[in-house]
Amino acid sequence: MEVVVRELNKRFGTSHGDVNALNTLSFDVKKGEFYTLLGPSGCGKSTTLRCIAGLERADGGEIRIGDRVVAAVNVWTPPNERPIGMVFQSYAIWPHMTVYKNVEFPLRQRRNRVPKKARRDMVMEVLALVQMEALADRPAPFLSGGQQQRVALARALVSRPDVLLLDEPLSNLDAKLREELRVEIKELTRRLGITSIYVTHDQVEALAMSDRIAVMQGGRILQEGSPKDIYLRPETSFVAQFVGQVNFFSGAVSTATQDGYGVVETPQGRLRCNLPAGMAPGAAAMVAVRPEAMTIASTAGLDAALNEVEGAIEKAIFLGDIIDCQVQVGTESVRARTSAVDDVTPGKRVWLRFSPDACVVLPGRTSAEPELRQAPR
Amino acid sequence: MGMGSLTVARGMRMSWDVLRHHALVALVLVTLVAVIMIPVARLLINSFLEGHPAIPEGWTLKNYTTAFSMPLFYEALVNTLGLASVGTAITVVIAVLFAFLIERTDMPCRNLAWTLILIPMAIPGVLFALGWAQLLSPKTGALNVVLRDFLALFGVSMTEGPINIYSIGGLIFLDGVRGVTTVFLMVVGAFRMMDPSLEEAARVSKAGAIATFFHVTLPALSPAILAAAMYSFISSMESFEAPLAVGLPANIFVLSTLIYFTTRIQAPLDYGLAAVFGVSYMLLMVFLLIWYRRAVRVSERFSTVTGKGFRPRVISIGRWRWAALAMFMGYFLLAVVAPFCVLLWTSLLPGYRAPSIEAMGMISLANYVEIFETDRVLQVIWNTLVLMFVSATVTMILAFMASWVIVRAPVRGRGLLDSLMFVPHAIPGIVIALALIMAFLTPPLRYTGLYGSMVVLVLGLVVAYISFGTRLMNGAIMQIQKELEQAAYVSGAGTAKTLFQITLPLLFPAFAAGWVWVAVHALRAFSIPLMLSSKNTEVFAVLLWEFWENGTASLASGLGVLLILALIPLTLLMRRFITQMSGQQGGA
Amino acid sequence: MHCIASYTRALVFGGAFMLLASTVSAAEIGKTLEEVIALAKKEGTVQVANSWRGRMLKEVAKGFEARYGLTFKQTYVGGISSRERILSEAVAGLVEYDVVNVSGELRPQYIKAEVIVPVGWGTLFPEVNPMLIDPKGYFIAAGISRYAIIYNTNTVAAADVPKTWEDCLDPKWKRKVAIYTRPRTFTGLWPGWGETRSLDFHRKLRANDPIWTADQTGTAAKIAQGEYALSCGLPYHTYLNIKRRDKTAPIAFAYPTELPLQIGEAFAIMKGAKNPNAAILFAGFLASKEGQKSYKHFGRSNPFVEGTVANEQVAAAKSKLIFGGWDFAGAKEGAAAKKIVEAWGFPKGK
Repeated sequence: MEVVVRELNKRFGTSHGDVNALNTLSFDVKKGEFYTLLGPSGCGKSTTLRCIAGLERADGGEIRIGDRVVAAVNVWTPPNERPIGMVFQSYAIWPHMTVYKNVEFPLRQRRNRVPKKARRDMVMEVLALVQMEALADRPAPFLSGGQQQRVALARALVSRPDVLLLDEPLSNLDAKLREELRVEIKELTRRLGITSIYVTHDQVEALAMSDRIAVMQGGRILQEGSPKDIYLRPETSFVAQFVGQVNFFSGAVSTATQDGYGVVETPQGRLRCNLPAGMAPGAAAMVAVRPEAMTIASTAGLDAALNEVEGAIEKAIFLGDIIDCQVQVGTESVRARTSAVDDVTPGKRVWLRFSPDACVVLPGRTSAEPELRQAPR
Repeated sequence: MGMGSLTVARGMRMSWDVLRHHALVALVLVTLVAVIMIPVARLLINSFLEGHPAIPEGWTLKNYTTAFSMPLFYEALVNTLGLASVGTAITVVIAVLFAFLIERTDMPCRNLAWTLILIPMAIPGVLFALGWAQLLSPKTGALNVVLRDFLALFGVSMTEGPINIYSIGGLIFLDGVRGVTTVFLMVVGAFRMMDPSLEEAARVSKAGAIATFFHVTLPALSPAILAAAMYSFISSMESFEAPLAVGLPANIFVLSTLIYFTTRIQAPLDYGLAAVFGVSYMLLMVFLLIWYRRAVRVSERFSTVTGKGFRPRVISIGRWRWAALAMFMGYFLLAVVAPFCVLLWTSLLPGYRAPSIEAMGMISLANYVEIFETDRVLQVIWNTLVLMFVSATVTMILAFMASWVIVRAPVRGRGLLDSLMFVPHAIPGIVIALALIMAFLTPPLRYTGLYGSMVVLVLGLVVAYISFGTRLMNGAIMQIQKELEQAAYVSGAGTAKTLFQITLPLLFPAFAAGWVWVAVHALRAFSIPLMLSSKNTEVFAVLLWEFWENGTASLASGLGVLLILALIPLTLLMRRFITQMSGQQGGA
Repeated sequence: MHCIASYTRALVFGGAFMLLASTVSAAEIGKTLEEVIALAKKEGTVQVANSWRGRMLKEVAKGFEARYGLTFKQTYVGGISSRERILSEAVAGLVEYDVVNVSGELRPQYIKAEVIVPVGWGTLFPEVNPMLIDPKGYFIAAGISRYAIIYNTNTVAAADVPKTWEDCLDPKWKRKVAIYTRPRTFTGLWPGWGETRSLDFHRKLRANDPIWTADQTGTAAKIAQGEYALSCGLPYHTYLNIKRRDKTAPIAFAYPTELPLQIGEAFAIMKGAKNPNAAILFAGFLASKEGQKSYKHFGRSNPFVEGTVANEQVAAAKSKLIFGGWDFAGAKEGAAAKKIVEAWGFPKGK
């Protein structure tokens, strides 16, 4: 079942004035697709999800699930009549019921009414999918976080909904569990072929699980695309720095060549990059380079095809599989990484090398745009 | 595709849709509002009427001008506010302390304490005042006699006292002790349902038990506590049994005594003037409510019951455990044991006598024989039990639904609903009863033929007690995380189903507390049943009144004793039931 | 066609029948005693609403049956609220009782609401003292309340008991006299004293610092238990209630030289009563000499009727009786009460 969202608008009145939570938001989710809304808190992603679920109502716009309009100016289908399942951030497992009763609940509602015998089979089947069948009779409060999340998932899936909505389901779990469940959820939804809309602020989750990602900010979608597109070809500086780490080199386009490459003059050096169409010489530009695209060398390089900037190691943090370095290049602090066994003592002079293909040129920062420095991780 | 973004008046759309999709809730609420508006409307109308409400003589403003130009009005008001403030402060402190000790600490005999704390509310106000008057009357009070004998051992001889109940101290004492059970029940649900991680966070940050209590627990529970304090305050302001019995002989003048003098002494009874006072109470209530909502707006934002599983953490208070228990026992002694003993003493005598050897010789069970020989006793007991159970259930279910709309529903005007639910508390019972009588005696309700039936009696009590129920349920619902309900919606459950299968079970401790309160109050209710009872629906109050008028208080005392004794197994049973149901939630 | 015709016919006949039946069921009240008795025999059990208990009920039942062969069923209604309810019900057309004791404050209301019917009491019961019959014909007074000084025999010597009301103002009784804040005793004295003397008395009474009480029976009980020394002005029946229950209670009564009386129990026949004739006989019986004898159990026997307890007591005390009667009870009494209460320093309302 596909989901179509058109021009959703929503305003909130707060004590500090009105806030545009959603601003003519539109997107489509294809049948069976795993679609993620990614963004910082306050960007409107949860609000959007809740509008799709029917837990909130937008001021304008239209939402369609399959061929049925569930929300529009004169149409409103309450959540209990929509063909959805939803997993909440807090799991929302009912403490006064057992695991079994929690998962069985949707099957007892009119929308999905199922006779008793069939219910048992369906519940146990979906519990097996999340590996919780052994704990079916355990009262809910005695479950750990991860177990509760699985139960929440089972409950959302038991009635075979057309659309699965997930609202930051993993943010309350510890890192290891998060990784585990990430894979499980993705596998499950892929296997069931269920259209899933996922909301998160964690870009790793988004990249790992999604078929397509929509990066949101201020109630708008900034960029929509596959994980690779989003990561490798960000279209705004916000997207670039929100999804993954990135270094920015500000400057101006100096020359443009026929083959799509050009040169951008920056205080850190002349960088040869893939220029997007429409960027003429003289245009302000920002070159975005991901840290992992840079190699750290102890000597200057000789390959003219590669970009190179010189700097000194400021900080080196051992992360187990890599060393995360902060390199002072001129006035900028550049992030780079290198293998764990390399010698990177602070103060050492190094050269950072990266390929022109690793550069993404974005329109230069104007005074109107907010400062988009790298947010501390 | 491409629908223009039209912004329609959001509020209107919301209300209509809420109504459409939550039909059951809407229907119930409309009925409830209608029932409440009957006495409210009647009160307002009466305040502008001259003469008896059944046969009015015309419209007038004289009621208002008289009331507010009365010289003693403002003095009485100040006295009343002062008395109510001090009394409420005492009540709230005691109740909150006990709620905390019983629900969250390792004080010994906690289960017993929970049961015992219910018993004081079983004693009708008139008997409670009577009991303490008999204990601490300056000359012949039982306790005073004992104290004088005791002091005589030390060579101190007195002819009066040493404690005189007929004093401002006496009034404060009676007021303070009286309302503890109600406040306790209002806050205990919140204590129980509170997420312990809030406190644990404090303890981990090195806060001691007391600091945690004051800086984390209390603020988190402040909505419930404030609501309870407000309720108690209004109750204090309205109470008239004690001020009349104890204040009048001491020349202490409060608002209720004022009302008594201006509306009930002369012939004919002045309904119009009484209505003005009733309206003033209602206005006061509204002001308090506005203040309360403002104060609580911030804390409304936090829910402390989540789906993350909660097992209320028991805090150890070390050697203070025994002090706590002693304190509780002291309270119980004052609130129940002392008045019970003196009532028992009186009931065994033909008339109250100060304790003495001679008096002991007069002890007999004659009064009890007379009580049980009254031919209607069994019928009265049965009627009263039915009234208790039905009123409690109906009131609490309605309160639950009303509170849910007030706390959760995205409808504009729910603040108004909240105020409306609270206002009946300000209306004197007699007015409620009279209003319902008139409503059911006149068309269209006349044709339902319900006049004189238990239904009208239940309605009267519902109106009287809905305020308590909604205060309780408001605080409780606020504690429950919205997502628990939302999960039900997305699982396909409609509003009514969610309410009764998810929200209500989660609220069970608070709901049960409310149920018990209403049941016991229905049992001992006085003015409303007295007026609404017909020949076929005689309940306890009718009997009590008859005995009171004719029995020099010894018969009435006997009835009081029987009531208290009957209530003990009842509360034990209820308590067992509540524990069982709460246990199913995984939180002991 | 045929159906409709027969339907209409049935409707018309049915309606006429009901109309006829309703006029028949609107009970007829006899004009002479013989008629009343004859009609009463066809009626059912009289429904009485008043506040008797115990022996009073038994004796009256015996006497009533002996005299007329009729029975009655009493419902205990005590307190203003119940009588208000009866009024409201009657106004709405719901009449459950045939004969009701209407207390002073409500008598004007009952008349105004037209829920009671005037009866030719004097014609039907010529032997009843005319003073007991309401001039407008609505009420017949059966019980008369008399107000005495009630005192504790342990604390107060018989010689010290006030002999006149003015004796109560003696400084020796400062802070010792309990006064019931509903001034029934003193409105009873008002017709005899007049306004000037009354208000002067009450100002002095206030200056003597009495103990104000809000409950009649309770005050008497406190005197019995020794908490209060005495009360200047309680109805005799409160003394009786206590003494009857507690024979050794150290409580006694004394009649001052002026003895105020109030109508203690006044019966009225409800309009729309199902058994009005039997009800009339009932009320009449109670006002008669024989019925009056039973009032000793209720503490409200009529001092004007020979042979009653009240009559004997009053004769022994040689007190002058002050009785405002029907004229005074009601609005005038209300006005007097307000003035008295105001002289006492309490707010008086409208």
